[in-house]
Amino acid sequence: MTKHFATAGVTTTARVLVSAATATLPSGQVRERYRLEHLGELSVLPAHDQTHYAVGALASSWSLRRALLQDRDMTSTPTRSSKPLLCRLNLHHRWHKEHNPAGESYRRCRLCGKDDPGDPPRGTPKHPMPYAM
Amino acid sequence: MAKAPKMTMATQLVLRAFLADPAIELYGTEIGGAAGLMSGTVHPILARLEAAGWVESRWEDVDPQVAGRPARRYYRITGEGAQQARAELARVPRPQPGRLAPHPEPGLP
Repeated sequence: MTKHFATAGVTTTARVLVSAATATLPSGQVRERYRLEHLGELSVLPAHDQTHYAVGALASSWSLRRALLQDRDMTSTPTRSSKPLLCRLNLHHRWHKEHNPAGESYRRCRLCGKDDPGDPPRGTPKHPMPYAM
Repeated sequence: MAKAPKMTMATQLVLRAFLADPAIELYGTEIGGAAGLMSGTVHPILARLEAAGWVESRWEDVDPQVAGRPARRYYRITGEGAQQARAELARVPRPQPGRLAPHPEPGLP
């Protein structure tokens, strides 16, 4: 689809508002899909209704972004950057006690899942799983 | 199938618009008009319904050069979507007439 036909019959105001509405969406194919979709609907509306439609699209753009990102989040796995900054810098962890399958206790950070490498409390092993020989 | 979408009032109205005739395809402005929602605001709802597999969409099969306008995106409720939507709508209270739903459709829960 050429740019000329994509914007045929669409007022400049509506086009600008739709561009602003879709600018909040994830870039690439998703953004282009919704831009073309809005333009396709605007092209058959009278000028006044186009502005009304485009304002509505702009008002709901953040909600559309959330809907699209929520869909993406459901299929992705947490990344390393989701760890708190202090954990990533290894400056602070929120330790809590856990037990390995052998029943031995060790400390693990609630926030990032890191095992405590420091000296364990007396009587607890340093690693969650004892090394098998 | 993904998690069921949240049954907000606007989502209920959009689903009722689809269920009025589950076989036909509608584009955004038609859906908004049938649901009584503000023009241009149905796409977040459609995106959630599509992610849940309740609705499917396709580009209109039209040559923009011949038609003199861009293609539209058409939406249709899926078979499973219709089934689940009916079940969900039967569970929630019907929107009050005159508030958001302008057109009560007969035959729906």
